[in-house]
Amino acid sequence: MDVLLVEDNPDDAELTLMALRDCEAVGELVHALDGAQALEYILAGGPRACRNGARLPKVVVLDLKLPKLDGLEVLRRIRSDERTRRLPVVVLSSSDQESDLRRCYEQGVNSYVVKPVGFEEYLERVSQLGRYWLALNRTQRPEADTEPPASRV
Amino acid sequence: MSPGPRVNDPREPIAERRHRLGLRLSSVAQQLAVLAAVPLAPFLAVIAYSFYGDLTALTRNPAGQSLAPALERLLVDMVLLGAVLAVTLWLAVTISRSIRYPLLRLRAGTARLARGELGFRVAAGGLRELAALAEDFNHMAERITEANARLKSSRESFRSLFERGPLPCALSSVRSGGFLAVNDSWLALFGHAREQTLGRAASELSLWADPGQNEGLSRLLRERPTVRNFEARLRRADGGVLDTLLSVEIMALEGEPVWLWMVTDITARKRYELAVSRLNRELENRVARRTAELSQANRELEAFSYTIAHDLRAPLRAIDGYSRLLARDCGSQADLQEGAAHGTDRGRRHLERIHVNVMHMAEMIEHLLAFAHVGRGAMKHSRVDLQRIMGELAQECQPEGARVDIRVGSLPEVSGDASLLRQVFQNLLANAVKFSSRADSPLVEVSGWEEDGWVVCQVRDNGVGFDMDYAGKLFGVFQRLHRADEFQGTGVGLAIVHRIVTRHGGAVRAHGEPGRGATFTVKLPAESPPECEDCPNPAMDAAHA
Repeated sequence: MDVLLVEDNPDDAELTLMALRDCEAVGELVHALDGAQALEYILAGGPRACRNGARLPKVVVLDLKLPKLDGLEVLRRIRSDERTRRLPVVVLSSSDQESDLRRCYEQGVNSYVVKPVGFEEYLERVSQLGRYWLALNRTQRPEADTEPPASRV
Repeated sequence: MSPGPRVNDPREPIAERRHRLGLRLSSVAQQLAVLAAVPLAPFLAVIAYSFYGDLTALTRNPAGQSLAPALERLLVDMVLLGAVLAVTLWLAVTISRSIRYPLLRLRAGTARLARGELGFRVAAGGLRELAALAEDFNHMAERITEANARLKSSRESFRSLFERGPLPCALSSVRSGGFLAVNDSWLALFGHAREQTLGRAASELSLWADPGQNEGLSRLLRERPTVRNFEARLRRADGGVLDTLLSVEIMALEGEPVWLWMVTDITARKRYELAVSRLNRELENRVARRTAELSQANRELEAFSYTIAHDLRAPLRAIDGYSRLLARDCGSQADLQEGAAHGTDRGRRHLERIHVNVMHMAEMIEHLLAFAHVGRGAMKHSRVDLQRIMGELAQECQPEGARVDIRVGSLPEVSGDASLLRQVFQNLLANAVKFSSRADSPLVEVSGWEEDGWVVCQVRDNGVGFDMDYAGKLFGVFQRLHRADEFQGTGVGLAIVHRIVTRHGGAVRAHGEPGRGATFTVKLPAESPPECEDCPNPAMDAAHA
């Protein structure tokens, strides 16, 4: 899996997926409809969980305002789990409020991108994001993690 | 006898003077006795000699033949003796008159003086010394009278101070505790009758509302002679309790130790203090309640802004996204159906209008958020260099293509939030540039000065101006004086200006004339007062502006 998109708004999701598919770097795309589903994919325990972290996405594209668990809480849980605390997470949100930016960076987000209203700008921004995180950015492979799993009880 | 300086010395104690006068009187009497004895002695000698001669004659004539001449001589002697006695008597009377009487008068005077008859004066007369003595005596009596009068008037004034003074006072015996004297103010304060009070102790009158305080005061008075402003609750005759400040000190009255009590009634003051503290508490509660309400309102506003930011943008994005996709689809269809080219163009134009409106609404949302934002959040006060800010803004606000002449004069410093004030002048300058951009030679002038603790800053342009009839609408949110096809904008910029300036305790005015430009005058306090951070302007009130 290359990208896990966590987005509840189907229109936003469609536009985002469209933009991501437009860039060649993206292979497998998974769309989670809310925070709980996202955590099921990423962390063990859910029916569709990624096994042992071996199939973790290269990047999580996370909306902030989500039903059930909101984006900030999803981010917090990702960061507090040993297997995923280095997982690249990009917040893609309509909000450009200073308080949202602050909270996200405090929780260790890797990047924060504001969704523009204009369609062309939106497509451009999201494809850039995909190209950067999937082609340009080097991600640490999970098996290369120096932390031995035995250290966890 | 002229009175010596010591006699006239008014500082000499009266008792001593009286003693000195007595000494002088006795010595004068002795001298007079000696003086009286000297003239009597020759007469007595003559009489004695005469009798001696008579006796000798009788013895020389035993037959007594010559008794007759002897008797004759005896008779002569008797006459002589009579004369001598007469002279003696005369002398005695004379001496009495000039010495004894004045002396007696002086003695009587002394006695009457001693009895307190200070008005009595001794009549002058007799010997010179005695006359001087009488004069001295009278002088002394005069002085005593004066001293007495002074003492009396001083005592009277102190008495009237005590009796009629506004401060409730009382004297009580240290030995028995009973009151010896109380003044009218005391009686008025406590409501007792004088005869009810005198002779009774404070405890007998149930004066102490809290007997523990009585013990406390007694303890203090054992340690020191004076206690000032001891807070005591004292009871009136009618049972009402007074809050008082009690001052007590020990003093001597005719040799007996007494307590002087002075009472200040602070019942009313206490009541006011209580009322004030209750009011303060209420006020604090009210402020706390209002603050809670305000922060609740702020939280709601925060949620409201968040909703606008997040939820209103999403459908706009969808509208724009799908209309763009539709435009793409139309485009590909148009290539296939050449005949429908005209209709496709119209469709394209409609889709373009959808896009323009979506973007406009997105801009309005953004500006509304910005407006909400400037009303909240803490202000960070610092010295703001308007000159530097204006210099930077003059370059930033320069529109692409058209050149606008922006002239920035010298501007003073002001105290305020630098980023908010920057936004004020950014909006004013951008407005001025926008509305003057169609003038033949667009000119924007910025000037500033200080007056009476205010910093005044003016932004003037030679643009389209406005009709003063609509000046009141200028600073309202989404209020515009120009059509969108004339000048672009959302109508929030000046509302933001107004809000920020108001938050700084300042004011903004606009003056304009159609076709002749507009002038915006911002007045800010040179030293801004600390803003109450608990009561930020709720963004809602701008809607009524």
